[in-house]
Amino acid sequence: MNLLASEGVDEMVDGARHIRPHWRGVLGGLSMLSDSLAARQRRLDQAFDDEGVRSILPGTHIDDEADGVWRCDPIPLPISAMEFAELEAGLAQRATLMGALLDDLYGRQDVLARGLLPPALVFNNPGFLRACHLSSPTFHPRLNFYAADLIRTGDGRWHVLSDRTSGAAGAGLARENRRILARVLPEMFRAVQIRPLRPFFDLWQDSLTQAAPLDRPHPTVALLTPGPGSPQWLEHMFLSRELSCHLVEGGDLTVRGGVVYLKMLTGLHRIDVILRRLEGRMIDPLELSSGSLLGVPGLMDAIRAGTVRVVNDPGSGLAEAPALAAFLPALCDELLGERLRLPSVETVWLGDPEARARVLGDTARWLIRSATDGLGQPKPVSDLDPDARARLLEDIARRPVDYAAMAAVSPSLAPCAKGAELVPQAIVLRMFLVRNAGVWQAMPGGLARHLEPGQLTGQLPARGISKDVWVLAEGSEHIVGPAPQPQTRLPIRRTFGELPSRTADNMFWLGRYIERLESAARLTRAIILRLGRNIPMPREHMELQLLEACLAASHLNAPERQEAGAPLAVAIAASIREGGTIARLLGHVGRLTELVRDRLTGEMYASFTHMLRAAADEATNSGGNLDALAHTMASIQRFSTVVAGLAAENMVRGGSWLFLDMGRRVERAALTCDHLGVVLDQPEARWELGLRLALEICDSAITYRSRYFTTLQPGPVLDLVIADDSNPRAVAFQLTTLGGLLGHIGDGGDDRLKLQAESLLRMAQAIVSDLLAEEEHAESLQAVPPRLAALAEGVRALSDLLFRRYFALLPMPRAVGVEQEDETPGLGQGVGRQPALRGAA
Amino acid sequence: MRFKLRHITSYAYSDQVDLASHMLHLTPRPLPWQSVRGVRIHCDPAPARTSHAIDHFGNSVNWLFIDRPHEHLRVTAESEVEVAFPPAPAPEETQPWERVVEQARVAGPDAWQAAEFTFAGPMVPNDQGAGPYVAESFPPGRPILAALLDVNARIKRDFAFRPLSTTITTSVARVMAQKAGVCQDFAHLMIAGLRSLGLPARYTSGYIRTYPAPGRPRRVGADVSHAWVGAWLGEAHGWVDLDPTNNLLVREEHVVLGWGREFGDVSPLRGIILGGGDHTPSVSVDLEPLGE
Repeated sequence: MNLLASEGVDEMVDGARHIRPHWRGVLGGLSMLSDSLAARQRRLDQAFDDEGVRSILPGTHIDDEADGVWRCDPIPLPISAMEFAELEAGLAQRATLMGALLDDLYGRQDVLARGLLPPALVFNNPGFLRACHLSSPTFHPRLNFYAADLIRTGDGRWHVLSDRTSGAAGAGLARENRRILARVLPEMFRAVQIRPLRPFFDLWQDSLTQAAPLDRPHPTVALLTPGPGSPQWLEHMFLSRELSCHLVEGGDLTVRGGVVYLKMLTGLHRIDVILRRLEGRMIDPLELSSGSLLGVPGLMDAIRAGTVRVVNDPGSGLAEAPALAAFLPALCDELLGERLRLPSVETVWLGDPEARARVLGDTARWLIRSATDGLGQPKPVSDLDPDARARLLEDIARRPVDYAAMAAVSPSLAPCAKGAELVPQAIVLRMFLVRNAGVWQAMPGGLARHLEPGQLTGQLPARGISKDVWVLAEGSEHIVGPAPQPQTRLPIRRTFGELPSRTADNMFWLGRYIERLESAARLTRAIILRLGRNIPMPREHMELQLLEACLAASHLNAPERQEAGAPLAVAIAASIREGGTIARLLGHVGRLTELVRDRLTGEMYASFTHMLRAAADEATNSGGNLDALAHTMASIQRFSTVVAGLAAENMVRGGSWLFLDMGRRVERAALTCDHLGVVLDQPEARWELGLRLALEICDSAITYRSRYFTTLQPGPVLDLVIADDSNPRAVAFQLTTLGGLLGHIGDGGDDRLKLQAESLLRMAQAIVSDLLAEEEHAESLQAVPPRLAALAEGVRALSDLLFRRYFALLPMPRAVGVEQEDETPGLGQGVGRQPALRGAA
Repeated sequence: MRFKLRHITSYAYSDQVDLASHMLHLTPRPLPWQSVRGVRIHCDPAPARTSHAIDHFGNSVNWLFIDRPHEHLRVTAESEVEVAFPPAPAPEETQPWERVVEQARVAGPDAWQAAEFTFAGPMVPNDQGAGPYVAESFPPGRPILAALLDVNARIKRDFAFRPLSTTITTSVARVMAQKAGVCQDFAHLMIAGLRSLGLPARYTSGYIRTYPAPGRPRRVGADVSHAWVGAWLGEAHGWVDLDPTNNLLVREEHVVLGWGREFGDVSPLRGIILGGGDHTPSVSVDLEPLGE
């Protein structure tokens, strides 16, 4: 890549063209593969696909391009035990140094008073959070986690490209790489003995538990994420699983009386340790960025009160300033009394007039980067076009303190699979350390990735090719876990209420949207089948109109069919195109699936997404052809059935399943009432037609025939589709189930809601019993549609009650006394994400 | 000069507020030349939790956390203050301004803390047109305080004091263009200009004594929050306070609440609320001279 100087060192082959010893095992493993490398690469991609590491669902906005997010190269990067030990010692020293430096800068600031560090790197650094610098000293280590990006330069030594003190992504992804690689390339693992990754996560988990306030013997840990809109969402999900902690957004937390709580269905649940994966300046809108809706008002106060520990400390991003590298050797001497063991890539700060003169005199040798923004990309002055170059030089002359320069270096090359061949690629290595019982320990592994132009430093990009990093084991003494802790016996738990309100909310809406999607597909398919007959009979015309009216009654046809005079076939084709009703429903279901993903098993998630994507693809490719459209609708119906089956067989009957099922029941009850109301609202001459459609809509024609043969009568039909609580398509079935589900929430549930469900059930039963009691069906059948409408309204009111009782805990915070800064990234919205559906009720 | 100070902030909300957190910079900062007694902060409704700390700049901060529904908030801050700023050095005897710039840049043992106030902040970014304007008062070699007094007078002369012509987020560039604003805008403008020359300048929040119209009694609660500029004269003389809104060298008619880089560091009351609908704030300040 052109950012870098000449060809780099080869990781695999030495100067004399010999294979380096620590690569022999890897190459031996590759030679034992039973099929081609390319085939394994495909299986690896497929496995990543299944795990959703690459998946992009319709409606999710992680990335707009349909291409993969992360791929894993089948060739790992081996590191010898000795080299790893050196790296670990060097990184542990840097982590210790960073911790000491942060303690000083957020405390007495001696390094500034003594002139060891220019004030510009602190006071002119957006990462220096003044709210974290208060009179009261902190006795906790500010760093619990440290990561670094490293490259091996031309001299064969590893150099640190960036220090990551705030919370770098990739540890979760590294673990995922290892897991999947072990499954797809088991031969390789038999050929080489490598150190496992899991013990590192045990250590990490242990260190988080120990970070808790002293008076909290059984602490609860939460990972604070910006939410599903974040490019690191997957990483956060993997990590929270690996560390067995809650995955929370700012809106899930609340501070009361100086204590942080997670909003659960049953109430507030205290949080003791927060693993911060949200930018430090975003965590508390009261004291930091007032525009941040991602944070928790009062969190800084709780930190000062010592009721919660946030790791790493919110202000720790300060130490990521690139220009700091120029001062680290001297700081290490002064603060630790040691020589710096692991060097940075040569860096100078341009606020120093001598260094500036040196850099500007030889621009080809240097890359310019921000002095304080560790995520900014280094720029080669010589590659800029004349205008940009003049602007940059002018800016440096005006504000030299804002800039640093880094020597251009050539990263090492490692072989990567490309088809059947191995191609050398420039790589960067990210390593991770945690502090446990005062000692820094490195993950025996890491995340290596191909260096793409423009990705030299900074956040992990949303896509790329990564490599598993293998630290070779020497003997078995390396396999160590944390020191055994005296563990108290866990009480057996079978609670339904220990679910974050947001998750319950998302599950509920996922259930409702799946049901709406199914209903729209079922009706649309019924329409398509009739349109397919060349010359429709008058009866079919009538049926088409009624089916159409059913869609309209539930707002399942807006807006594409409201255009006057649009032929039905055109309208249906429009409904699955982008922006159409069915396309939008697919989008909602995809988005919600992604939101609740951390609650689904891997297999469930994979099945959901495969089918959903297949349906979405079919929809896009049908091109308005009626047969293809009918097929798509059938696929959507199958999807819905599979979801129901998977949920029934694979989900513990806890909060998640409860709310998913409640969502479906509520929506099916309401939609069935809507649709029956439409088809039964007929003059006597068309009763039969209406009753037949009622059975079709409720998928109950076969059951009816088995009970009553071919005689259609209002009483038996309505009993089957409304009052029969053994028919899973009948209204009564939904209400009975719903009543039972409501009784399971939390501590016995909310009686008001249960009573409401029971009264709705009686309403439904009364519709049928009143009809059966009448001698003359004619008049009483006419009374049915209004009563169904009232019932539908009651069901929707119950849904609103449910919403208010369980989800309305999450309103949006607002700032007063200060104008909103215009910097809110559009991530992690609160409740009210589903306005379209709520409005339709 | 002694004062009795009362600052009342009220919010009326159109909807109920369920949860509120507020951060206050409302108690005068104790200083060698300002003694503060009888500090009292009262909040209605009663907060569930209060805390206090000294912030990064050395100012006193209070927090109020209210966790019960309310439609009205009233925060009263009271204290008694006695002020007498030390006399400023003779302007012509202060050092040339370029030496002050150099001292701030090198950031030696007596200058590194002042160096913080040479950098841009979120509300006072670099270069908004204030630089060239302020620079006119800084010909080469001019003693720093002489130059500062000149800028102070020019701002008073060139800009109109016009309440409500700006908000708390009006940019310096906008104020330069409309040639009008309030005390906070003039302070930000002067700070931006001084910093663009490399001079340390800070934002001071407080109050100034007002005088009733001749023959009228003093009106209670008619005072307002005020803001002015702290400027650094170099290692030898330290900081001096200048009030560009009134073209004054600050002596004993100003009361200091605290200082920071800009308004946002010392805003008297800011908060985050859940619920609330529209809100109407109102502020009443009373700075009553004692013992006259």
